[in-house]
Amino acid sequence: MKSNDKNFVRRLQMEKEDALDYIVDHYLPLVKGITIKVLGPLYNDGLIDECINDVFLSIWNNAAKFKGDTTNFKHWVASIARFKAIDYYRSAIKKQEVESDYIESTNDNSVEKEIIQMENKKEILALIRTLDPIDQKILVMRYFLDMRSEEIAEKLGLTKSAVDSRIFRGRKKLNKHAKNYILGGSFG
Amino acid sequence: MKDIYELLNGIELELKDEDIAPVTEFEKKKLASGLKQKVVKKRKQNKWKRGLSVAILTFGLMTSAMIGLSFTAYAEEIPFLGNIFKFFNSDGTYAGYDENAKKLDLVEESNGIKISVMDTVFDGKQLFVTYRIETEKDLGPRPWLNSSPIFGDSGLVGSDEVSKIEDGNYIGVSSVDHMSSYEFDEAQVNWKIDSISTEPNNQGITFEGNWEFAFDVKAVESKNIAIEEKVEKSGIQFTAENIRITPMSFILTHTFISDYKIINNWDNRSVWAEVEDDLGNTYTPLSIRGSGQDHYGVKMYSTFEKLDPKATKLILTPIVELSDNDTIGYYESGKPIKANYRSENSKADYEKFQMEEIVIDLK
Repeated sequence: MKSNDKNFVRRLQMEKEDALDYIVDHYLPLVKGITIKVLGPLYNDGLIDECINDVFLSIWNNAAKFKGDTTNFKHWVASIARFKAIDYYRSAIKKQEVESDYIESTNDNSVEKEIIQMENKKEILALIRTLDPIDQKILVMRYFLDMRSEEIAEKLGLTKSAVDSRIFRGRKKLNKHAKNYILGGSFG
Repeated sequence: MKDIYELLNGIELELKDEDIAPVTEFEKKKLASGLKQKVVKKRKQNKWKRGLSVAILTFGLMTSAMIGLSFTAYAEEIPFLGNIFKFFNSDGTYAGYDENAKKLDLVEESNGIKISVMDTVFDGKQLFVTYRIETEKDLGPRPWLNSSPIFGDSGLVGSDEVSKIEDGNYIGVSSVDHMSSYEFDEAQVNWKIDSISTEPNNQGITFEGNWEFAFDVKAVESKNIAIEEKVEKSGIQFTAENIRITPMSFILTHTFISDYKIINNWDNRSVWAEVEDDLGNTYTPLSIRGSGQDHYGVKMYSTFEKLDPKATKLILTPIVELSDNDTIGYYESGKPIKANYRSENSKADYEKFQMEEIVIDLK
């Protein structure tokens, strides 16, 4: 049996290898496009290939967590691609910073930055999980997908100020938790 | 627990034309074949793990009874006696293993970790090897030897149970089953360990090294009783094929065949037997292993604890458990999306029933 547009999600979830051919065939242009958009400015083709590989492996390994139909699947794939690409971008930038000879002044030590720099994403996810579903969505869009408030507002049918205030509130909560985590981490 | 992949459900990014990059056929092929290699490797491990989980279930039952015991009482005993079966025997499951075990006392040291293979017992089907790990290194609460003893040329399924006695001192029992349809009289066993890690499959902290053991073991003497009795109910046919009695256990071989309707309606079918003797002793399977012969029929082996020598009859009650996998969502058409697993306490459909008893004369 081969995968087609009707059954490929189910075959993917059943760990059938032909589903891998199908998703590479149909979604590589999208995954590659999104990855290049984020990682292109770094001029590192090796990193782009690595990231694309990682995206598809993650889709395979987490297929059971996907919910929805073919259209939803396309968006899920796109979100994973963007999330991974941003993740690769951030760690690449971090490495570059370490290698440079001068130390940038980091007075703008915002919560976002601290959170993003937390090595263990499990921790930040644990923090996000304590919020209500709509705030979860907003913070995932902001921190993992690096979306602007306008974009988030448009997607969720909220006003920009509603999104901003929710981010502010969420951030305050996260800040409180994050401080506990960071303190716990360095002194514990 | 929601992880990022679950949280990314339902998030719709604005996709523009520029987000679609040109891709050549060659790029697709190269990526797909690279992915498949990684995926196959991973899946092989998973299969092994799945095989393990069946057997571990029984070990789990066994060890849960052990937790309440005082470890120090045993810690004194073990270095002198090398008596690991006794340690894992708090509820009687390993009664008789120790007397029938062959002492090996093979020691290998590498990378500051000493592994001693203590005893082995082979019942013709399943091999048990007890071992001890001593080290100054921190292997965590439950170290994983990333390998199992191997023998014969058929497939093997194994499980492993390790307990920490005190810092730097662990003991364990590894059991391996061969998939051949007949019993072996002896086994030439090879056990090559090249890493120990704090989590399964070389995850966590991994210590590499070279510990290699080779030994021969003869199967314990056993008595075979042919049964060939069939019972049938609601689309399932159960056949008890034979029972083999060893000095420390007995092994029931049974097959079951499900009809087309059952196969179509249920994702999982599990058929096994509860056993009682004429003296009122009940026996629970220590491990159940099986393999499908074809799409409809499955052959299973269940190992039970030591048989009461005074028993003259065994009464088998076949138990059928039918269950569905979890539903993790719905297609637009309303058709459920099924997972390839069933979680604990799942609300998906489940049915359990007993079949007619089969009585076996032992004398």
